[in-house]
Amino acid sequence: MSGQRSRLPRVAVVDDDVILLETWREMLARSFDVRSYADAHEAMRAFEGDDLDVALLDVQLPGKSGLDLLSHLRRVQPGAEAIMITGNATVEMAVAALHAGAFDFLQKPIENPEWLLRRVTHAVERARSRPGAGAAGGAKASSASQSPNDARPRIVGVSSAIERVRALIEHFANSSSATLITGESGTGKELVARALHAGGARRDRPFIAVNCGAIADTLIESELFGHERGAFTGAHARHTGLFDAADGGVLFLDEIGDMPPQTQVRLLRVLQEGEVRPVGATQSHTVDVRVIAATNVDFKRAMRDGKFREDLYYRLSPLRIDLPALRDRLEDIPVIARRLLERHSVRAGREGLTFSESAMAALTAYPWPGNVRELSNAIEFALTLSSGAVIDAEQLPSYVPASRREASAPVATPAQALINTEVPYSQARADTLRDFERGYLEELMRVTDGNLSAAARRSGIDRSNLRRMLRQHNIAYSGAAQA
Amino acid sequence: MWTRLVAGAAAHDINNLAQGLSNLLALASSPTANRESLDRYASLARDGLKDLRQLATNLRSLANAQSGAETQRLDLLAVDVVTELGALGTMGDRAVDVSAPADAGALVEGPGPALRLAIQSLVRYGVAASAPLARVAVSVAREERNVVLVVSAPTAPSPRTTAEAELGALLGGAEREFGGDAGLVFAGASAHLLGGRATAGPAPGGGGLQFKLSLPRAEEAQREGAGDVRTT
Repeated sequence: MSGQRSRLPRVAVVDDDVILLETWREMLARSFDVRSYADAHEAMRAFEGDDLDVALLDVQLPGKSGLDLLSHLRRVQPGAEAIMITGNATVEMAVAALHAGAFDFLQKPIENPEWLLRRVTHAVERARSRPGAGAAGGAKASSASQSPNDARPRIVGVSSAIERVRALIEHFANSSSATLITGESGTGKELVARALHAGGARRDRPFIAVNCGAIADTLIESELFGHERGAFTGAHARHTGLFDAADGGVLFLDEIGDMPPQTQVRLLRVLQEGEVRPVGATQSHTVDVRVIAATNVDFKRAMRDGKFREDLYYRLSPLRIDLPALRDRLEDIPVIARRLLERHSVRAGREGLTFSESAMAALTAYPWPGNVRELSNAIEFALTLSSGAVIDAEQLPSYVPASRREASAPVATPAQALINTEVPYSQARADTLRDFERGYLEELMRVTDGNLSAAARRSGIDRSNLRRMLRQHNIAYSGAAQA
Repeated sequence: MWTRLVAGAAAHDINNLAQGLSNLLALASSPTANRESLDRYASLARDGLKDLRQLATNLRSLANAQSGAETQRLDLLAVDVVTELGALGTMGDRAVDVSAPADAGALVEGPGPALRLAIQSLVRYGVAASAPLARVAVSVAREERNVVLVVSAPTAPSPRTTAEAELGALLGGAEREFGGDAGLVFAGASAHLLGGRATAGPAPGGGGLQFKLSLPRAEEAQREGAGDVRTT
């Protein structure tokens, strides 16, 4: 294997357009051992014999799609990486390619050959960093890309919505395409950006986060792109921009919706050309940065109001992850709350703290308009007030009402909840369902004396589901393990 | 639908050419470029220009597909097209067998360029999609009201093309079968403009792909016993 790694990286190029094939080959041949194929069948045969590091595959080929080739490559050369290239990209196609294991998905035209070279270099690095990579027929390499012990930020939750987010992160991590993360304030957009960085080939390169809304309009261009000495009053020395600082890695542009219009134009140019021109400079230079942008702004409205450029929006969003609000994934609250309590209590040197039933009930009943950030603040607040080992409902901030179980009416009836039009429909509906479920389960456990088997028989809910539901609502049953 | 498909296919081909020329420009500007490599880049650029002219010709053929009412023999056109493709060296190591017994009744109406574009595109795709050393079969036969040209290509079976279907539906569907290939788009659009249809499906026996170009018979011309009116 070490002998294989010491050779020049081997790159296959497959394109039925002869001019493209010839020119890609010639450009890449300066740094790699290049094999070129105009014919999909010939390429497939060659993949079975060649020991490849990277394959650059045209998506559209006669008789076989690039995706067919990709799946063949993954089968016969699991250690190799694939870069898909097309002039006719759609989001579905990109997702399908990344889902099928492509390292990157590039859209023609690529004006700067240097940029392509960098992408291929990254793919080679990725292929060579895999344990057992490059060994033709090494069937273990595909699973080696996922280390159970890696230090990626954890996206906590058990809901199907958060499962989907985790799956998208997994699929998108290895791409270099721009990615847009949307979600309400406090939903964890930066955490997702960090997870994308940590899970991809750029993990050993910088991750730089910048809040576009926190930098004065007059400074943001200089911060992002750098400036030359004397570019403007006060520019006493040359200043390196964040794009240069993030070269080879990831630049996370938070609150992108707050970016001033003139900066949007410059950012668009960087995304289109992969080149940065510092303020006051006459020359551009190439950078290789994956841009991940985040926003809580309604882009459609911002574009309609002329506050955000439509072309920039499409450049930023070939890949997109929408984060659900916490109120739309209530089942995640207990697990997130416990995780946050663990983190805060470690920081405070008071490990081993738990929530009382009433505290957890209050936490799961509150809609959390500020999402996880607000939940985190509330837990930190309660931790500071508490002195014992158990956090109680009374120690939570006053805006988090005590559990409805403790209110004068034991359980809000569906009708009562439905007529509460002070909250949005989706929330009223979720509240009603949750209250109904809690009320039903409490009554069920009361009439069955907390016997899980009897309750399961009576309700027609299977035991494991019933156990899960009871745990979610913190309702005791016989045989439940003590927390 | 065809407008969208033709526009998309033309944009794709132009984009590829732009990319190719841009690559050549970058290579030619490199300080390491020598006389020999510059000659090669110039030759590739000439090929690019030829492709661009061909694209313009194809688009013009489509634009004029409904102008004039020439009568053509599809069997003879098929033989011509295959011979020309062979002479152009586009077959590589594949071969094309034409089975089109002379049939004075295989008459269709339409301008020669549009008809040739349809036939040529289907044969080209069949050849390109076939395995090395494969033999692509082209046949022409009369049916009750149509003249039908069939191109059978021994390709790997496509899991997405399991039954005969309109080419337009396959090319423009969610699966984007055949990758929106420009040649097939031109073939389908041409058939549509000539009052016929182009379909794709599995070859009988499951041995690959089969394209069919069905065009209405030129009854009027047939009655007059028109002979060989090929346009080349």
